Amino acid sequence: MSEPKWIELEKGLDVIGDIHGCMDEWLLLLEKLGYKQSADDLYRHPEGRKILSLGDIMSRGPRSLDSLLFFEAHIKAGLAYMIDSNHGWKIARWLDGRKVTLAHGDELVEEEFLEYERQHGSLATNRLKERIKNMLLDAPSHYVIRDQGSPMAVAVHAGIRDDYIGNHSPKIADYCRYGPVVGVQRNGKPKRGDWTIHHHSPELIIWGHDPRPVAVEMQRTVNIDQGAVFGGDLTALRLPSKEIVQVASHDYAQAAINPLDEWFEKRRKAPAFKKWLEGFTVHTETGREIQVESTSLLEALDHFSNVALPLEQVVYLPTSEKHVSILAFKDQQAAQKWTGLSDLLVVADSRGCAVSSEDEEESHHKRFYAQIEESQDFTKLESDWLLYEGVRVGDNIQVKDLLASERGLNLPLNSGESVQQELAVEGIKRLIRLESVERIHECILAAYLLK
Amino acid sequence: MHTTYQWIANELKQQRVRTVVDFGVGDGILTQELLKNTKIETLWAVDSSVENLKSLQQLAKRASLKSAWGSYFYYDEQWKAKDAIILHDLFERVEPRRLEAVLHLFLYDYFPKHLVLINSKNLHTVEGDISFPEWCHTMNSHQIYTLRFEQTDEELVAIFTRKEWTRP
Repeated sequence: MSEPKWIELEKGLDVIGDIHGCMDEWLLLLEKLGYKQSADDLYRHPEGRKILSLGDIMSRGPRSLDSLLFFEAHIKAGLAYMIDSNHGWKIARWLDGRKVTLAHGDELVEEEFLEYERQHGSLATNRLKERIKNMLLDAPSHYVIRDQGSPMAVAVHAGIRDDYIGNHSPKIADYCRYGPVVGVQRNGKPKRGDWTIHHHSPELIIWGHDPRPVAVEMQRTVNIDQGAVFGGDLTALRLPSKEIVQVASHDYAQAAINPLDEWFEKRRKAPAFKKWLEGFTVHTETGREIQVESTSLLEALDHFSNVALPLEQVVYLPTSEKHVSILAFKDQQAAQKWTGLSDLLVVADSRGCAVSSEDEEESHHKRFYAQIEESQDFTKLESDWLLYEGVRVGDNIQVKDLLASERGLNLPLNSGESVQQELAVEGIKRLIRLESVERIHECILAAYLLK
Repeated sequence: MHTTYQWIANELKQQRVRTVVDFGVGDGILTQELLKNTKIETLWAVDSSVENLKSLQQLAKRASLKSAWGSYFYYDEQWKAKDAIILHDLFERVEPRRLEAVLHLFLYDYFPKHLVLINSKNLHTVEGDISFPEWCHTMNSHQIYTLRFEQTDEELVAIFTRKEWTRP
């Protein structure tokens, strides 16, 4: 393990999330990124771009050894870089002959080495082990990526503190490998703290380790581990364009608790309200800062606790009393995944309340749902949910425009009209970006308080 | 006299609790009953209704009594690791289909030594065909708590007690 290093952006870098032995997907991704295999078997990019792996290239998946060999060859040839990681560190110490317990898919790496030994003998295996060990131990805790000398991004496996960037110590190396560990969960897994909220320096921090369904930049941090080995995607982030390129993968790990499913559950956690008590600011994607005073916050929270629909089911507040929001789910499984409740249809008014009485609701909902199904939007847009705007006409409600789906905003929603409109658009965008119920609720509360 | 409240107050006294949260305090009758227990160092009277909280001001002003806004649907770190939390009006305020998420928040995030649920006889409470005690057991699938039930004149009370705090 050596000092943290600088990389010059030069012709461009492709930063790769946790591969975990998903070699087939990795080769497909390389092809998609435009790399070509040369006569010496190495992959080169015609524009001279280079590869930077965020670590955890092995373990859990089917082809760890191939993945290790790929990076060993490409790093040696100056075509790729790799940083240190929790699995990498474990395997390095195992290869170094230390007493470690191989678990969480690391035992599969041992199996692959045993198979290699059966085929190539112990001498060749020992030589190979030495090479792989050296590669893993040489991997720095993080890389600072510079564009013509000035830092523009940091690549790290699990997390970093701003004051650790460019520095080195065993404590920093541990932090970069595992992230901040703040306790133990009910299932015995470590409970991770959220370090991203403390990141204020200007570099974009690119990290992996903690799989989540989408790669979204938040507060100048982006997680590009989309759980390839758990049936998600293998992700590359291209620099400097920040383009995301992905290849779909299979659930090789078959873990008892799939972290991608677990992530959806965490997304629905009850919002922590204390941070809104002294007034707060909503930062929109468009760069606006909307200030909100909190003098009647408790009345608003009372409303959303006792009168309004469940927080998980409300995405935005329609800006006029004439309008309603209609959120529809493909099936009950999709509804459960996104809201924790099985309602296929949620119709909410401008205060986030159910629009019709329970008796009316059933017939209304059946009619809306039939209409939505008829449109075949679920299939066309390949989305678990669809969000429409409805209009009240007398006692009736008419489904009007489709506002958004998992694919993105459907209408060029004009956010400039009013603050309420801007908050509605921001809330919907947060849902599309798969942000937490708490983050979406922040926009709803702001809209409610500013009314 | 309300026998359920007396029973709970007495039970908590025997468990020697020092920090107690009366969640969903309503009219404050249980709070007053609990205030008789001088071993309680801090008693929080919590409600999600701003109106109810205002009317609490008329309760006896005691140094050990604090009132706070709190809801089943919002997270508040201050309820972590208390000796006892009483979910007073859980079944009145929370629809059956939302109960599981709420109980998870209290049992596993707030993680009190004792969690008390009060279930009125007349209320349709939990989803599906299972009984209230059966439902409580499914909520304790990790066996982190021991469960006790007490049938009073008016209600069925369930107490979840963390295993390490369960007395033989």
